[in-house]
Amino acid sequence: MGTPLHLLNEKGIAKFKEYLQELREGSTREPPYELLTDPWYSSKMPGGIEVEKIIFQSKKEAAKYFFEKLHFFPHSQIDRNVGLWSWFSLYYFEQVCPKNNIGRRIPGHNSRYILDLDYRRYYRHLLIGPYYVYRLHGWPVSILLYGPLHKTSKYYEELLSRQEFITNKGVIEAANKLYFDNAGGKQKRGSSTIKGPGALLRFIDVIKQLDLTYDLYSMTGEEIVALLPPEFDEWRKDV
Amino acid sequence: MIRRFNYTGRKKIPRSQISIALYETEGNKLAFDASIDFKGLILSQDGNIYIEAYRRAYLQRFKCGTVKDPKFPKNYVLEGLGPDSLVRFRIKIVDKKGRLLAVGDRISPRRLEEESGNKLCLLHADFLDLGQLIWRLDLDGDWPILQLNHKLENIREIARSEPSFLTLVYPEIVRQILYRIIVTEDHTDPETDGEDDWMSAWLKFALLLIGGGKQLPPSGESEPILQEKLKWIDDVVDAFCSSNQILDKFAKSLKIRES
Repeated sequence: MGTPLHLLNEKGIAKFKEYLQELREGSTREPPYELLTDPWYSSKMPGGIEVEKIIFQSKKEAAKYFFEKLHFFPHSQIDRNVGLWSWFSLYYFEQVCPKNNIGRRIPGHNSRYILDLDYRRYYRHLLIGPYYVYRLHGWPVSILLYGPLHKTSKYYEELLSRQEFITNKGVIEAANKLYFDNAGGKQKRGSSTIKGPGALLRFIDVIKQLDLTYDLYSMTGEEIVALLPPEFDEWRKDV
Repeated sequence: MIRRFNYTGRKKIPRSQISIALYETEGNKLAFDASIDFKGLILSQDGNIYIEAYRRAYLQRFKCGTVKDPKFPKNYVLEGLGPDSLVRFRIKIVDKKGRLLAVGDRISPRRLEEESGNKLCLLHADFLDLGQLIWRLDLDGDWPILQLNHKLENIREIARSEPSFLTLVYPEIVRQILYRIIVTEDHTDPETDGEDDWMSAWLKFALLLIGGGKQLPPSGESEPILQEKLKWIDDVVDAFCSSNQILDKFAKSLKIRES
């Protein structure tokens, strides 16, 4: 039995923000789940969609779930819907802000839970980011979407914050081929350092250079990997 | 001065040779027509033409034939964008190996609803939820955007024609933009980068406003140069207010309100 999809209204969002602030100040109060269906703080999203309190094993799984639940709606009703994504954050609060080993929840910046429409902070939202990656690329890009919802990797932050990268299927596929270990289900050993020869920051610089010469949008990840200079050989060897 | 190298001979498609018209369809969607005049551009006839519509993380790409046999878009819908969305365009001519032969980027389309010829728009508007703010400037993208709070009814009309808004807000916009260009970015050469560069376009606009052969302040960060820059910005804002009769318009709007 699911819960009908709702939108938090301004009062609901304000209450949610207050709760986040309380947590930062040391409160151990449980999440105000009552806001999720209280008509004073939220309203039902038209369309009769229900969602379930699934425990997502990874951002990948969550992204696919959100995509399947929301694909009937026009993008214009989803992409800038602060009430919807804030409601989702509260609904899945256990996963976007779990308790630490001493039983406390320490939230990050509000934009991780409450959708911030400023494009510099848009993808920091822990749920819309994975959903958007899945929708743009049509597959759960492993290098961006491995790991639990509340943890974001450097790959996630560096690539999602660059619009010209995140929209480019070939570039994202190339990053995935270079830095993701399919067998291990996580980034390749040694790739957690993003500086240095052939590492992520160099990948970003080199792609920016190649973008001046090639139409990278028309290339596959494999073709882009082949264009990279020898400093990427270490990462390229088992592609 | 920023210098850019072009080792591959990639050509630039002048903005004046690209025509893109954007309009709202009957179903409240956004659609566009486009055409490119290849006159004067020596390009491989086999080059594929791509038109990309983009806005932040939104990108839609259209294959439009070849240079020899172009198939320019007519009534192409930009799926996923609302009718008020701000969108820019990029034109690419690409050879068989994926190399760029020519590019035209940061193309602002003409809105058919507000047809104003082929003028370059210096400031775009975007409508979004700004909480309790009425407006703010976004100068971190590839063109200045005046963000307006869509929660305010008729904000589009207010920003376009309400005298109190025009007189109180626009001089401040001019000031903030010039401050970013001249002080923060230390960009004082309007000939750099040509028509694709918003900072140069704004400097040219400022020079036109201030007139009288006045020069731009020099580049640099020393205290005397900073003072010279701030004085120059004040002069431009004064010139903007004079040419738009800002005080008179504001006084008139107050009188109308009182009566």
